Amino acid sequence: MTSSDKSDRLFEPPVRWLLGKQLIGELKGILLYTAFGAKLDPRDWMTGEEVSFATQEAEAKGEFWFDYLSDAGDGTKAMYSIAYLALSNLWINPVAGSKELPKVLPADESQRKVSSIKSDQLSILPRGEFLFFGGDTAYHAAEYMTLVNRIQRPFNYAYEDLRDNKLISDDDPRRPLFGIPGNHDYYDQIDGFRRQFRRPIRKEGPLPPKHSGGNYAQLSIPGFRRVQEASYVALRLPFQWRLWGLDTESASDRLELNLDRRQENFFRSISQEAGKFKAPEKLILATCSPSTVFGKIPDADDPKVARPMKALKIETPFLPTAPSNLQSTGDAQLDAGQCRLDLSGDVHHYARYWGPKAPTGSAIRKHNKVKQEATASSYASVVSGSGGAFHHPSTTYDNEICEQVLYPSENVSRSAVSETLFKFWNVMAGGYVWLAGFILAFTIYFGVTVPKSSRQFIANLSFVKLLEIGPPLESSINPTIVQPGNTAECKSVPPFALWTKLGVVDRDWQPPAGCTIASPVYIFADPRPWPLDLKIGQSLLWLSLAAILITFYLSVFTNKIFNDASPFDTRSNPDKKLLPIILVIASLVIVGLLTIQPYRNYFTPFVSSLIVLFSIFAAITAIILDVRYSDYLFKKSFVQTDEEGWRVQITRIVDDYLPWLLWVIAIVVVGSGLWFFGKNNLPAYLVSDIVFIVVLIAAVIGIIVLPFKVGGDLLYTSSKPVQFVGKSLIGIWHLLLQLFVPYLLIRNGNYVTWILAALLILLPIPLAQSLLKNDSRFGLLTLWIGYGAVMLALPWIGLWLSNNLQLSPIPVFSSIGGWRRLVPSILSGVVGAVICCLWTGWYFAVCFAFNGHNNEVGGTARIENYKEFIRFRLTPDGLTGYVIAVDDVSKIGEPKAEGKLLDGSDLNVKLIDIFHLVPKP
Amino acid sequence: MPRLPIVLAHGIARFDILTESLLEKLHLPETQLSDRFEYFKGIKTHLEAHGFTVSHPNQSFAGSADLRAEQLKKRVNEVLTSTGVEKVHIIGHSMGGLDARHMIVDKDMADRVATLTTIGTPHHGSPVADHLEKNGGSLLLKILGKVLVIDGLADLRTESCEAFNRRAENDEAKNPVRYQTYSAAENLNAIFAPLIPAWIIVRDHEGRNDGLVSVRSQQWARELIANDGTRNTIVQHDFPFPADHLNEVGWWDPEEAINPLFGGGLLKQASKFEDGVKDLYLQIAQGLE
Repeated sequence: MTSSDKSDRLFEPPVRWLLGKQLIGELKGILLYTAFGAKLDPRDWMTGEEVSFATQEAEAKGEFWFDYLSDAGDGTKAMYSIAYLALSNLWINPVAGSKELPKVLPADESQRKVSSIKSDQLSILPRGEFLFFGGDTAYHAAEYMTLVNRIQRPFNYAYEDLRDNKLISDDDPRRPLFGIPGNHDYYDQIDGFRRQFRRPIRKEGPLPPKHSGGNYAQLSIPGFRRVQEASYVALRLPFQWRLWGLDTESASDRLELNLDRRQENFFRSISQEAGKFKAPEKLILATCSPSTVFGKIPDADDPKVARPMKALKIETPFLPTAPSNLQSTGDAQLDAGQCRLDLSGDVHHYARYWGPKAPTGSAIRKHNKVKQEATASSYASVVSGSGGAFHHPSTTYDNEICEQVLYPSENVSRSAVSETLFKFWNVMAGGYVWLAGFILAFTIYFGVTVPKSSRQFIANLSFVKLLEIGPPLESSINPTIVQPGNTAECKSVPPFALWTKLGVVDRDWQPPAGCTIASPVYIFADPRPWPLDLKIGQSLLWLSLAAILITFYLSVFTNKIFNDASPFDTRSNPDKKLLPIILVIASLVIVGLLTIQPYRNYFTPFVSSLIVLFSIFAAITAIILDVRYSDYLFKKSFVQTDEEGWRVQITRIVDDYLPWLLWVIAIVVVGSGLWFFGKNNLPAYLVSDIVFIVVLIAAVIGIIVLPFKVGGDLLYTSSKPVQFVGKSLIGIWHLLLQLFVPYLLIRNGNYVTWILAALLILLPIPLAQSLLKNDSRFGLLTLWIGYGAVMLALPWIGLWLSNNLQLSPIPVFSSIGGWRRLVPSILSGVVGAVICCLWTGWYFAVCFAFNGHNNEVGGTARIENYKEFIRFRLTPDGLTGYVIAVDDVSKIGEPKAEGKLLDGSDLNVKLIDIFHLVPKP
Repeated sequence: MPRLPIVLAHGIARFDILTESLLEKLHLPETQLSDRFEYFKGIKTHLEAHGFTVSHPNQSFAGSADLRAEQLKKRVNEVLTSTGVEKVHIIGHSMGGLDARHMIVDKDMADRVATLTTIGTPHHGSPVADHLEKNGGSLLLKILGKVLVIDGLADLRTESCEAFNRRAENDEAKNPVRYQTYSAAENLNAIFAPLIPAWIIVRDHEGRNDGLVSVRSQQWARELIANDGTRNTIVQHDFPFPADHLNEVGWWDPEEAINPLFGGGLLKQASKFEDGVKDLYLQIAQGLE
């Protein structure tokens, strides 16, 4: 095969995380796993078996090599590079004056170079006897087509190039491939994982460039064969070493312990001494998620790491036995003869905790406040998640335990990220997030300026009037369903009888003089005080809305109402809470609606729409309660009770009728909402008002909640009140910018404003980049606030400027009517699409500067560089890890001299860490 | 001579105010079903089925006895006008009985009422009202009073009732109205749970009671004696089975399940209990001629 044939190679960029096409396509799998992961346990097919490499022949060699990588299958140039290196022997500088392999990283950087070209002067790091994938095999979900595109194809290319470079031969026997699943494997319910790692029934496919056909197994990777029969792995290695890969990603039948019983029994069965389980002395333990990462002391109750280890009675040397005392970790918890390595990916950079101190020379962390050194000679915890996946910034640091080695360094990582985040076109390329921006900006502009109903409401808000940012005020807005000519006088309003009986009001409400059916005087426009019963009705509705929101939150997001306890436990009965909640809320809603209902003709159409929306939300909450209650009843139906007495009988009646009652309530509430308040509005206005307000509420909640729910370790090292205030303020400022900037630019902007805006979305980028690069977090924050304020004030700045320049100060869309009103709405959407990406990038950048949103920043920046994997050497005296990294993979596949393309042999490869662990003496 | 119409006068703070207002709002005609949600539970339709003419007045929720008496008078006059007879029978429960007495004495209605039957009426007031007054209740009432009309509570204090009794005795002894009282009591273990604190208060002050009113207060007096010696005897009856204040108008509560009179499942017990109460009212009505 000649290199010219390689010009049609297909390299895919890193996956798009900001609502990209593939992500949306895989969303149902992700949601399915998120919702029902614990129930759909796909580990049922498995029968684990221990694979042994501990042959006499292997031990006689005096050394044994294997390779580990994790978090693969993303940008395929990255995957290609790692595949190329992992399939090949590599060569490094020996210890000066000998042929010995080094056991510590050379202090001199020039000595760290790794060559992928055979050399007699250098010492060989031979290709591993097997390759181990540490989880998250491909992104976003490791399903079949993704594995073909992002794993198999780059491995094929790498194999072809190695073969051309005479570093691998079709005659070499295929070596075993192992893997454990991570969350991205479970997003496909580990179906793709099973295809990629389970021993195939048909034989492994032909070597490239031939395509595998019906006679061969799918997803074959050249140079490797698949042997696994379970999603967990146990390997018996030479010199009494064991490698165990646990599958602890997915919840099991046990609460808070992601280790199914079958898996637990398997591991117990293979390590017995005198009929009892005994953990291996020399153990490499691979998990899908790291025990220690981002400088945070691990969680002792982590269902993916600490708990499964405790369940298996394996030591947890990463957990301090005394609070915050790092001296009590590591070696201190091991017995003589023990040696232990924890291996994982999940976070996409390299970090080593414990193990020997590396001679890196400079401090790992700029802001390190951890005074205790955590080193060990028999224990290390290694995060090695750059086997292909996008870069997770290494700057996030929680100041509880400091790494021994970090790759790439804080500065490198930060400047790589700062290059991309502020460029909104990068964010736009990251997925359909711009579409969300379009929808938000369009909906707001449309809702504010087009439909009569919402337009009237917005135009009368005091801050809108004050700033003159609303739609033009109309002299009067008539009810949308009344004939304009109807001049009959408004009738007096008899209040809901309850309030006359209670003595709250004693007479009918008289509409003001001059009020006619066709042009009523709306209550808010009527200067007289509202009748007392209307005030009470409104308060009841607000109260019920608060109660509904709380109930919704408690029943969906907490187990305060439905505690999921066993129905055999009498305390599990949710009736006691549910019945009063339902009765109180239903009474509030019913009385509230009936109270305000007589005045409905004097509500503005928009308020009528809001009340309909309120009734829909109340109904949805009732249905959610019903669904959750039915779950409980289903479980309870298996409980037999001999108890009698009226309490039991009442409970039985409630059980039988409550689900129906909830449905009836839902239907009656929506029905009366529509019947009493929906009839004042044209359906078109009803729909547009509801869409307007729902989009607005979703944006408000989503953007405010973002730093709390997704922000990761945002402001982690600050005190809780500072965290709360900081997150809230960041969220609110981000919200203001997302909501108002596009709207104001279109609504109030003149041509001068627009020219300024076009300049201003680009101008601050270099300054912002340099602030972030230099870790000037408060500088960046100040710039964000100032920049945002200028963008918000831009219409007025434009106005002032055009007055001074004697240009026309009139906003472009100051007077526009009829269908043309759609034009600025669409334009606002277009501007919103851009501005949304701009603020998303800024928001992530500011949070990133304050230690937050690591994952989202990584996903947005989509940095394909800084890849690494580990080549392990086992010897009778211990274990050595050679961490092999490549800074830049971007040139792969580009043409070089003599009509050839740049391939793996052109990569600039280096060692970033060498760690040597020995059993505790 | 045709039977005189019966007026059922409800007590203070009618608990069915919400369903009542709702039915009114929905303009539903009165049926046997809707009557099951009435203050006098299903009693009106039951009596009507036996040929009586019955009406429900609707007085202020918690207005003063004077206001409620005025409203009752209005309603009685409407009944008299529509039926074309001279007099009515009044059956008053709880404060409804006091309202009727106020109406008869103060609103010049002695000639319009043939009989007054009171059930569970606090003729001598209720220590519960005194207790509320003394224990900070007045502040709460003051606040509530800004929005609602709740003067009626003060008229239920023992002091106010005794004052009215003294003021009215002369008139009541002389007027042609025939009075009878029904008094009920229940033990603590069968009392409707929310009434337990009130039951204890009344027991401590006045002994046996129905959870709000003592038997002594319900019984009123054996006879009324005017200044000139005219006497009017009050016929005193006991409620035929133990009942708390709400049971007296047909509302069953699960605590009644302890009552051995009515066996069976809960719903069956409730319905038997209601039947018992309805029959009592029928007996009363039949004895009124």
